[in-house]
Amino acid sequence: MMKSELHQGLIYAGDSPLASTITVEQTGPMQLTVRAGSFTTTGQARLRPYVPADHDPIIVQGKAEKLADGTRVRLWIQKANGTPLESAKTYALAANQIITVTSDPLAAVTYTIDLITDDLVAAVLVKRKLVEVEKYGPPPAGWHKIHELLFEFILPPGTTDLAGLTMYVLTVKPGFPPGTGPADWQTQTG
Amino acid sequence: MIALTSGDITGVDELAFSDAAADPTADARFRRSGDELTWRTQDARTNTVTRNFALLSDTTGVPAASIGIGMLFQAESGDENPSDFGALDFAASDVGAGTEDTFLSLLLRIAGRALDEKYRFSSTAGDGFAALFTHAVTADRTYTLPDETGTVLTDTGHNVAANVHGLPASVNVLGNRSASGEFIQRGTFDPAAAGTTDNPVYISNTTVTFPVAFNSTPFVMSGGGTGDNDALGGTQVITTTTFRMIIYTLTSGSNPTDFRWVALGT
Repeated sequence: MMKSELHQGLIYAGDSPLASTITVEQTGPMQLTVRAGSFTTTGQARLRPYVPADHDPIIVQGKAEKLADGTRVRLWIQKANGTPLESAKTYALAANQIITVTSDPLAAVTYTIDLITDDLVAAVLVKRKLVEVEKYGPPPAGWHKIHELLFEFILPPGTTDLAGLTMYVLTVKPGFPPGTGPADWQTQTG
Repeated sequence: MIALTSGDITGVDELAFSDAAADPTADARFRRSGDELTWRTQDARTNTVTRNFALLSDTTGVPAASIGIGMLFQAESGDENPSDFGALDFAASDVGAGTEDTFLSLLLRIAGRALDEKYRFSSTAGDGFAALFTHAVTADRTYTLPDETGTVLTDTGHNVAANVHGLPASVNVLGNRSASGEFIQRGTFDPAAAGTTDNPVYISNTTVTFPVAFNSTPFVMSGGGTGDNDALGGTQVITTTTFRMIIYTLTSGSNPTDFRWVALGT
């Protein structure tokens, strides 16, 4: 069963540029499909009140951008040389990726699915290891992780159908989660 | 010129002034100059204010709150001549002996309706008008209005998240119940290297997704759990969207629950 809950896969973009249309679905007893889509990272930024005289010049330089509310600006954190440390980037997964999951007859294994990139294209990296025996290998040389798409889940020995397992997948929603207004202050939720 | 050296002029219906085309020539004279009637007085003051015209309207009744005196300003409108344009009223909110309080009302018209009080400048708090300028200060104060367009917050308007310290909506300000003047500090450090002969520990790790994405990598502090599970928590692989909670326990197979965390970021 694919799930996405607060703290486990579900995230709201808040004021960040975070966005994702990439989804993971179970398409067979032991088959997962990562649907093509796009993923936009947050980058590394500070939010500040928009001061036109201060910010308009650096917006032109690509070092900042105005938020949709028009009152704040997103300043990309800069490296020592004055260039953005990491501005938001959008990666496109061009085609669906079908993944066959295999259990081990004797030992539990774990799976994780990451979105990775070589800074040219995006791809899917499936990571599998025997629990307490192996470690995940690194991404291929020249590639790096963008984000988890399917968070680690344990596959018991001899599993032949994923349907009974809970698998948490990434879901990005715009804005902020509900329940942060005064009405919620009256209720202890955690 | 008619010279009246003393006494009163009574029983006069109207006084008509010709246009003398000049201001009064001497003290205590009243003269028309074009469309102006000028009442001239002269004294020797240098830095004080003189009130050289007074309107007095006393009463044969018993004065009570709201008694006052005013001045009506009239001109001509499309269908009225004369047409009331405005009035200034000075009225009393307290007529008690030795406790008199007064206020100034500016009366204006809206949509052809009768003059109505729109602004009140009072010496004490009043009630129920479009705008009330008052004070209850015990010393001279200076209030400087901002040189920009905006809305002045009131005691009801400031209790809005979006107005608190410029924070965006849905951000709630965290208070401190324990003490005033405290502040948060934060930092990073490199822990000492782990020993090589210590007891083995068992490690659980879970990737936690923040409910809301940060704009830059936050600081994350892990708390303990609520159960008696002799476990310690730690965090690693912190990003703007997730972090990995590492649980260290000396008990093989234990299942710690309710581990808590705090993240500080923008």
